[in-house]
Amino acid sequence: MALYDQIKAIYPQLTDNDFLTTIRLQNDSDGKGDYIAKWEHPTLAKPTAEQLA
Amino acid sequence: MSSMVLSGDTSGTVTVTVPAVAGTNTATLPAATGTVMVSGNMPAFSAYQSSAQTSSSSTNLKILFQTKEFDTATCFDTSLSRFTPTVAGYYQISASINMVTSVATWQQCKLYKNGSFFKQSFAPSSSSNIDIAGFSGLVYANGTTDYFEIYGIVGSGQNTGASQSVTWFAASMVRAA
Repeated sequence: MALYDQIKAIYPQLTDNDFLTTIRLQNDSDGKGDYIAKWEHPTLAKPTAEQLA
Repeated sequence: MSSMVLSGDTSGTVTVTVPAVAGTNTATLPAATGTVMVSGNMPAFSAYQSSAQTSSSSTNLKILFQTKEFDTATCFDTSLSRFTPTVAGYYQISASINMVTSVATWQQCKLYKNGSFFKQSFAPSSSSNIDIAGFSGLVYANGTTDYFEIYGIVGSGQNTGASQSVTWFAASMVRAA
């Protein structure tokens, strides 16, 4: 499951706008896959590695 | 053809050549201090994507440009898809990203400078299954360490369209620093 889908499963209330403003998911095309480059959501905590495992 | 040869401070020469012309022609140098730029030392490149990528939903994907059309100063590295200008100055940067296979809800084309998000464009959804987001902007580069990359993001996971005409990255120097 893609990182985006994992995060949406944890926080279904997140909107497209959240991913354009306070949250930035990124993939540098270096073979390391998707990762959270920025998490500045005002109320929701950044998912832990355990939650995303 | 007449020429004027200037000796370098320590070695070498610069030759200013005037071709055969009719009439009286005047080239005026500006009353300013700086480096004279000519076509040979103003970097310009154009590259495009020749192998498609797959993007996850709402995830900023570094777009790869594997093939160069031209690169006058060897400033674009296809292995990193990175533009690193070798002359300090101001550059016009343009890019286009094509997303295919399904209708995107929205998409953006982003310019990253030195590994960080710098500027972006925004393209709303199209009514077809072909969407293109473009970017154009004027930026400064220090000519040594500054580098630029293109990222794309779409509302729903897509494949990029690998094509010389729709997924490309280009830049040229506008003026020296």
